[in-house]
Amino acid sequence: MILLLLRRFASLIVTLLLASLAIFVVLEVLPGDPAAIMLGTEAREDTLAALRQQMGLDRPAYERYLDWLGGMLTGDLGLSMTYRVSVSELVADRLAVTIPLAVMAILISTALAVPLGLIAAANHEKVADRGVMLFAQIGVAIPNFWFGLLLILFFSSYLGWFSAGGFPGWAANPALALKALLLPAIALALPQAAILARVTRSSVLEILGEDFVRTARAKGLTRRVTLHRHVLRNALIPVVTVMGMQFSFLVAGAILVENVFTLPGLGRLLFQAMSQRDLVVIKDVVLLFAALVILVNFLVDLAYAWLDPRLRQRT
Amino acid sequence: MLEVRDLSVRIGTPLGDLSLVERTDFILEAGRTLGIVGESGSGKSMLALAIMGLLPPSARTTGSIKLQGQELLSLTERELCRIRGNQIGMIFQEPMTALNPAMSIGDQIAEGLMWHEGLGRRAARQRALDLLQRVGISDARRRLDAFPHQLSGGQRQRVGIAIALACRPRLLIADEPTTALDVTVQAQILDLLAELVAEMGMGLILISHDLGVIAETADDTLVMYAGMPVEMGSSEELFSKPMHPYTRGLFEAMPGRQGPLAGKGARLQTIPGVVPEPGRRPPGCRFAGRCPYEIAACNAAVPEWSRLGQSQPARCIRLEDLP
Repeated sequence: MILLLLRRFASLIVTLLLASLAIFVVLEVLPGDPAAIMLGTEAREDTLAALRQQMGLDRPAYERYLDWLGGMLTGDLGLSMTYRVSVSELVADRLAVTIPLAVMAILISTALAVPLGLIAAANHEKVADRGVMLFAQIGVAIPNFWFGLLLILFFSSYLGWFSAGGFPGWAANPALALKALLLPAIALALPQAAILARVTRSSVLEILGEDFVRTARAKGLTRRVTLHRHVLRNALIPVVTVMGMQFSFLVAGAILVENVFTLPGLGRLLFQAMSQRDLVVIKDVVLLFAALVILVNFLVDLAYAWLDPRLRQRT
Repeated sequence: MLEVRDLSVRIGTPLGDLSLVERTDFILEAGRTLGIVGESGSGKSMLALAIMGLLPPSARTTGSIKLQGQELLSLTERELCRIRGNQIGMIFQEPMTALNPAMSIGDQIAEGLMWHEGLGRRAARQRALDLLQRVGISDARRRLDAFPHQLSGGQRQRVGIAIALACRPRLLIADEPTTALDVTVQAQILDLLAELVAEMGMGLILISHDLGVIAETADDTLVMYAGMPVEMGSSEELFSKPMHPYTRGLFEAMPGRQGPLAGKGARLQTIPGVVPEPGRRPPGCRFAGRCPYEIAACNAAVPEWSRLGQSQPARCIRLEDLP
């Protein structure tokens, strides 16, 4: 088990390094001089040169890459070109919005999808099953930003239960902050829940056909108890896999949904940084997103080992 | 102890109702072993699942199954759950897949005890340990926390037996318990089963397509063909003088056994054709079409039981004319 952890951790580090290299190279190859963007098109050549030197742009690429990595390790992410503040500070504030948003979305999606999938499988080809499949069909078809707009129209404009967007911050009133994240989290969660419910359903159906389920029933366990004790855990492996893959979609979805709800999150920061060609911020935020996705997949690997004892041993 | 009367199982399909088991009667006394033999598709496993009440929801079972005087077919699902695993235990064919891969074997054995006897975790675990030792798992204390993939096929089948016997059932149904095992392990498992049946005084239904297995273990034998019993009697009688042409065919198709027609160096006989699927069975004797002694009358009606002198009964109208 320890060995498995170490091995997965090592692969996590390597993946992160490769991701950082890819991000750095792509931004290096892209046209556009950050110094020129900051100073505008009217800037004089010697001012540009001075700024490039100040930003370290005149140094060789590998040096800057190593600097960037070193900065990452010490928590110094450089200075944003447009905001003129340290990116670390900028990102920390934004993470305080995006991470809770993502966690809420995953919780909502799981809390919705796993029970729905179970119910559908347990009532295979009956009304409940068809209902869940219909929900899944609709959920997959609806884009999350559009669903977010619908939520705003209904709950904010029509019912007036929620504010239409914005974020009051955690310091003042955490309950209000949570409330502000609820609609965007639902908007993010719905398409994910739809896919996850389908995956859960088919996985449970497959496990229900396994011999050991019959053994459990032959012990005298009722259908319901068999489902909970024997089927669910075994059926969760593909569900967890899909959840891990969905996390990257969640991050991408956050960029759109944070804009719809004007949340000061990482996604919105990235969107703004892109429109302003703030390369330092883009580089850092993209790497951060990559790190989050890689970390989540690391957790998924750990979840496998917890769910399936056969994987625990194979190290 | 177990009394099965006029049992039939029909299953609804898009093509209409199909009959899987029909006209099945037998009695099993406590402490005895009934062997049920037949080719694949003869309805043996369906019969076992019907007794367990574990057939798919689209199946309908009619007739009567009485366990110690109690009619099982009139019980609700909830009542059946109190009998399954408690008064009837079942062992399955595939030890590789019959255990939950994500649960320790100790927990899998203890589960039934906690469920039926309301034992606490600790007490159930102790009983699971005793059971593991009883079914011959070495180093049982350490094995208690092992997962199925850490055991061999034979060991897993022993665990399957421990699960089935946990609550000391009155009736044990073993559906091809040794088919998936190595020959040497097969004999050990059969010996263990015979020992346990004698020790606990339960009735055992042993289902197998292997006449050798049945001959070694069963007191009585029921031969099934295409969903219907065609011959039954004490194993001794039946194996020394099979009556039904199908039973004879089975014997002749057995390597190393002297069938009525086999001489030294004779070729191994086979029964031509395959068991007809449900829905495509002949209207009269089900064996018509594959039987070497078939006459027109065989197709008129399903033959009733008949005997030749003191012989065991068989469903054949031509017993007197057979060689």
